Amino acid sequence: MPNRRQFIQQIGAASALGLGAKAGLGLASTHSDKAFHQVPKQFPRTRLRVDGKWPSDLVGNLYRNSPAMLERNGFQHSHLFDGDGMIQRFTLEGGQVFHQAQMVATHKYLAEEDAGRFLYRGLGSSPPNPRPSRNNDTANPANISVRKMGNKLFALWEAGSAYEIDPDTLATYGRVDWNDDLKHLPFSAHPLRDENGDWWNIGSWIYGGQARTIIYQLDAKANLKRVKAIPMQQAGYMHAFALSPRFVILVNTANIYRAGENYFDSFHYDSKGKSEIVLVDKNDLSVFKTIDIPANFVFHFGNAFELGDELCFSMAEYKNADIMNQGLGLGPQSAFAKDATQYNSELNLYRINLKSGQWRKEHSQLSLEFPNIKESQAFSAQAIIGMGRPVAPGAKADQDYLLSYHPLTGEQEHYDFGENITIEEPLYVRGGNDQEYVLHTLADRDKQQTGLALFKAGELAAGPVATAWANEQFPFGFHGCFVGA
Amino acid sequence: MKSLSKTSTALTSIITLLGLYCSPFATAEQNQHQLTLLIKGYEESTGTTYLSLYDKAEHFNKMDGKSVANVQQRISGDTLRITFHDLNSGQYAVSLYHDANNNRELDRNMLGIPSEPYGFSNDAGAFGPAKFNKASFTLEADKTIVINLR
Repeated sequence: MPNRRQFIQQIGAASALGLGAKAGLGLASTHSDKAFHQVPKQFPRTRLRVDGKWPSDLVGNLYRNSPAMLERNGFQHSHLFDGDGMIQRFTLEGGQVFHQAQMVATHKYLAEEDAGRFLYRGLGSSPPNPRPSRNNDTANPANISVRKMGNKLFALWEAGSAYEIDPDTLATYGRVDWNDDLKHLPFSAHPLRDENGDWWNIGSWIYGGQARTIIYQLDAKANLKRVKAIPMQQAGYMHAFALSPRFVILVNTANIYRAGENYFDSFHYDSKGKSEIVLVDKNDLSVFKTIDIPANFVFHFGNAFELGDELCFSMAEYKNADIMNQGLGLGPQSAFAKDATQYNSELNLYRINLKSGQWRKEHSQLSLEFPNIKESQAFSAQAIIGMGRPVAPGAKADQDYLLSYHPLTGEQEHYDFGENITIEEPLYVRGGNDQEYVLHTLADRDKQQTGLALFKAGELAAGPVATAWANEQFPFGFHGCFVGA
Repeated sequence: MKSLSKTSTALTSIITLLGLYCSPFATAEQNQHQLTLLIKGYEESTGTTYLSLYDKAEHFNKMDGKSVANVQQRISGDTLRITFHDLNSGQYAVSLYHDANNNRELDRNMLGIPSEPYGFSNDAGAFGPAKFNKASFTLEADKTIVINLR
């Protein structure tokens, strides 16, 4: 049995991901939580129990990626980033909701299925006697996100290639090579769409103490248009980026790489160091400006917009990298958490004068992770939705809630499902009659059931207009997308 | 010059052996040993394996022409066996790659990361090139080692 300290740290880890307190408790105490243990390799198509009226104009599929397979042959990975990816699909049609899921058939997954054990090092934990890796894709679990670009659906990691998935059967077509020169290079889980339909993405490459960020530009059909590897001044961790009309916005965090046992073990947060905002000009992919800011850590961004000479963008900013190095861990190596707020981020708005380089930060005093925006208005100031977390020290770990916050006006609204319900990444989705909704998965931790909730955008406080519940618990996930029919 | 034999079904193999190593102290027969390499893990049964045997850290993986021996061997199965004869006692390390498309080089992406299989003795290293001290082994008698391509 884990001790109290282990309980608490696992509560913190799970909560930081939106997994809720009871997910952590279940993992720590019983090893029977189906969100993490003995996860099937596929879930056949089943119909969920519907409550409320699902609007007839909202038809399509919510795809989500889950680090589902965390254990094999008696070994359990102790970091959530190391589970093999599973694509879950929630289909909305005819007022009904259906679910099915399938593991991503990566090189790693197939080799380990064949061997009957984990073979390769994970980012945060490693099995016994791991095999060496040929390149970044040797141990690619394709487990962070699933996005549609053009007519193709991609399962995305962050340190290796995308895998293409059949959107109907969820079968894996295979690894994607944008061209021969780009084989096996990092391609982040957070590509962003430009106004003209192009897709932008980054890949963070660190090896031998040198860091480069690969900038990708794809056309609307997901064919490569341009690529450039830009040297970085420091080997900081980068998970995602922001995109404005003129710039690819990188935040090169103060979590600095020095080779260690695992990839994440190799990062050391330098609280006395700096982070860098690197503005890459989309026209010629040159570095327009690098701005030093105090040390911080960030996974995710809100959107970016330009107001005259001012570039504005939001990020879910952490005071250190404990969330990555310890908070997302599931084992006893995780850091001690005094309370649920230890791993909280704060959604802050950075405002940079592009002429002077001067910048300022506006604090929201709100902890909001998994930020998402209306992609149809990607370059406009707008309300950001995400998973809210209490900011007061001592707050209970299971108090996550659906939160919307406008970084310019400060307007906010929220909806709290209560203690036993934990929520996951919310997305703006648009129905056929242009009605905007907010859609997200959630879990009843007491009943061990996964559900889906739908709100009208801008009316979160009124509660969901419809929900749907499965009779079982599906694996928790990170990110996804909605593809309208 | 060191002698070499190989067991392979590929009769058309091309073998190049460069006997660049010649120690003035390695003359007694009892100090001459046989080294057999079993190379496993070929995912494709076409192409050529390029292998080098080294006895000095400063030359390991440097491609500076100062290896003990270099071998080119066409592939025809999922395992390759190569035997060196008349090697002196000492420390050795092996590096190799599988040129699957026969373009005479280890294919790499724009940042230099290999896309074709490669390997080192002791299956050394976690990612990227191994160091000599991790890949080296002592040869004091006839010996067989297995190298798994990664």
